[in-house]
Amino acid sequence: MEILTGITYWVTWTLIVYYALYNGIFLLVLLRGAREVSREVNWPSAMSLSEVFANPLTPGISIVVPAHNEESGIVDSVQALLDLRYPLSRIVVVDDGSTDSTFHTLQENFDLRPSKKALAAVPEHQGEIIDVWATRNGELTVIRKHSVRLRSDAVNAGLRAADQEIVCMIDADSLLERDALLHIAAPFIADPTVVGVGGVIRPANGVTVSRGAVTNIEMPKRWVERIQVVEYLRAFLVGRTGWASINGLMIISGAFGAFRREAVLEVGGLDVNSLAEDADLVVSITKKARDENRPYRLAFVAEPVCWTEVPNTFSALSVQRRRWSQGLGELIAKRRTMILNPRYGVLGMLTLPYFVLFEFYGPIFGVLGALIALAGAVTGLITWQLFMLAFFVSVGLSLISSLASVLIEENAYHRYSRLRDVFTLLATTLIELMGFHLVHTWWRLQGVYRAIFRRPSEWGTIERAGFDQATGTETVR
Amino acid sequence: MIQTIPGLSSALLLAAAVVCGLLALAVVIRRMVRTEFSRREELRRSRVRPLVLDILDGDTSFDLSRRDLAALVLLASETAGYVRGDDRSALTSWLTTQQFARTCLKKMKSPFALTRARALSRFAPMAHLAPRSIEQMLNDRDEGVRSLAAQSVGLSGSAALTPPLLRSIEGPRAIPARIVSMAVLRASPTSIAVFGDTLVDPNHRVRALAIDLAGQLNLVDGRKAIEDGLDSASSEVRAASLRSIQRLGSPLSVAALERMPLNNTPEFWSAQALVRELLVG
Repeated sequence: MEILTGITYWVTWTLIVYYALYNGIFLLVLLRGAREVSREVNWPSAMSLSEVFANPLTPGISIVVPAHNEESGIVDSVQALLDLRYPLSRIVVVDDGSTDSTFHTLQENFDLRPSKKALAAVPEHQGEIIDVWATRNGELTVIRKHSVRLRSDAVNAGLRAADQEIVCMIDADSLLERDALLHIAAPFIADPTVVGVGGVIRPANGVTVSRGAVTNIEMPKRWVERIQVVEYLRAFLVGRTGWASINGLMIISGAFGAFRREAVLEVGGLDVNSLAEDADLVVSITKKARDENRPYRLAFVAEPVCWTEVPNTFSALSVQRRRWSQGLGELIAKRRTMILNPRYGVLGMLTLPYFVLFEFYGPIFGVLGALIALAGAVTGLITWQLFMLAFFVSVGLSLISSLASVLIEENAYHRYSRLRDVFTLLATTLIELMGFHLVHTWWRLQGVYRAIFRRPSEWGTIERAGFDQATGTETVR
Repeated sequence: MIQTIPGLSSALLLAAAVVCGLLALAVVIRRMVRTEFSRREELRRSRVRPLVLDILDGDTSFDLSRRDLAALVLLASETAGYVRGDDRSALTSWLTTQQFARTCLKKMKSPFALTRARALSRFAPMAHLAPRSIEQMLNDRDEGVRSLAAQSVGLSGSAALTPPLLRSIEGPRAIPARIVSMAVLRASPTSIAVFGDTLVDPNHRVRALAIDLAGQLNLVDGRKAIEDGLDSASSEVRAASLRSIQRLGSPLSVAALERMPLNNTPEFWSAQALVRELLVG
């Protein structure tokens, strides 16, 4: 009995130290993020943005859009991209083996013609290119290729046609705000050492779209979507801004990120074997720059710029989260030599260890630790006082960081216009932590299992419901 | 066993609950205060907006409350950034009478980068009133402020600031060359005289940039200075000269190109190709 008491006691204390470190580090990142967000919001950027827009020296951007069976929304997406406020952008849509009429819809609507555009030899990709089409003015290029069921392969094919200084990769179902490219190009102009810029991504569920632009923002109707709003606020808006401020950014989301073309080509484009190909690209670029002692910086733009549809059912969300967790595990295994290696700076010494210890192994600590501590308190093996201390460092500090993220959003951007939405956001932070967190931990644990035991990588499919479109005074789905 | 302070856990949990409650309350209060403040501010701006037109017409005989006047000053400074010529002069003259320039200049010496940046941004349309202050900002300790200062020079089109702007690409507090180039192009000088002595600057990077921009701006009166760059010891300057000569496209440059010493450098062969291009047309 004494041994059991001892084990429970020390497991609980390990849990306390673990969560104190986890939440403590995140709160520090959050404080940095808050400072950066505040500076970005209050900085007089209007002059800089108008400079970027009006100047002939503004770098061109190639936007690579992989599309697989997107016939319902592809025309709107491309039209929205063509309407973005930016002086020089070229759109490259990669029709990745669509079996529906994605290509024919594009051909009809944009008067595509066969193109003899010379494609770069790199990066390599597996799916063979069928043909290349383009509009007369060259603003839109469509590459048709055979699918190997990998988004990264389609992006790599698109990179061959990307001829501008900056390449921006977005999902076909993402919606950019009109000034998104101006915002994301600004760091490249301001600092020649910037090799990549990430943008804030927000769940589009609940927003109303009219002619490719977001016209009304409300909290989504379903709790599963609302929870993701809070998660995205905490992880994207504050977390990534904070990591970027110490040059420790590890992820620039595949849904919306921009890189210097040369930097992407140097590392061979996206890794088609990775489930976390977006994080892998950032880590590869960082590694290359550090190995060659080149100055580099990865920036993050906190101004909300990209709206993307998030899973609206728990089953779809579980697939996504398992994949994220497995992808992280695979990335960590691939880049294990960088972990705690001072050569790789903040990424090697802080970000990667943080992700290994808290993001990847977090579910194991969470599930086992919580079960043992709870069982110990119920059976009297540990005191309730000790259990409450564990509860404070895990749940209490997490709730504080979530609420602080909401406060930062409210202070800086206040995108949800109705007071009712603010109350919903606050209630969601509580529900996310008290109920959803446990389920989420279980999904992540499954991802950890798949990564450790090297189960085959699976992307799965997520049903898309499409944006709410404003039609006159009515809103219909 | 680790000794814990009795009651510590309960106290910590209670403290966390209080902090959470305060954060939630702060969110709600922030929203309510902002909504009310924005409503009042919008009302005030709507009230004073027509007066901007009066200022442009030279009629400044209005009597306003302190808050309305502050709103009008802000509105006039914002508008000054979007207009040119007489309209900008009228607005900046009125703003000067309101001590706006003095306030901005004072804030441009603030220890906080954000305050300096905001003051600089508002002062940009009036940069010609205090070029020395803007020049000092080109060497600010914050890189964001330095870039903003370069953009202010471009926006103001102040000729006196172009040489220091071009020189700001070098030194420990350098401004990225692209931002400087963008600012010079924005200022769009119509004569090479604006570039001052940067076309013969001993620093190769500065000289190359000045020559490059002279070509991009198609400053025909700078042809001689551009051609002189062909004799530079720096390949960077020679390459910039060739690019600018090509942009100007004047057959008068053929003589200078033919004077280039015969050697096997890339510039020499580019010059030969350019000679043919200029002669054939």
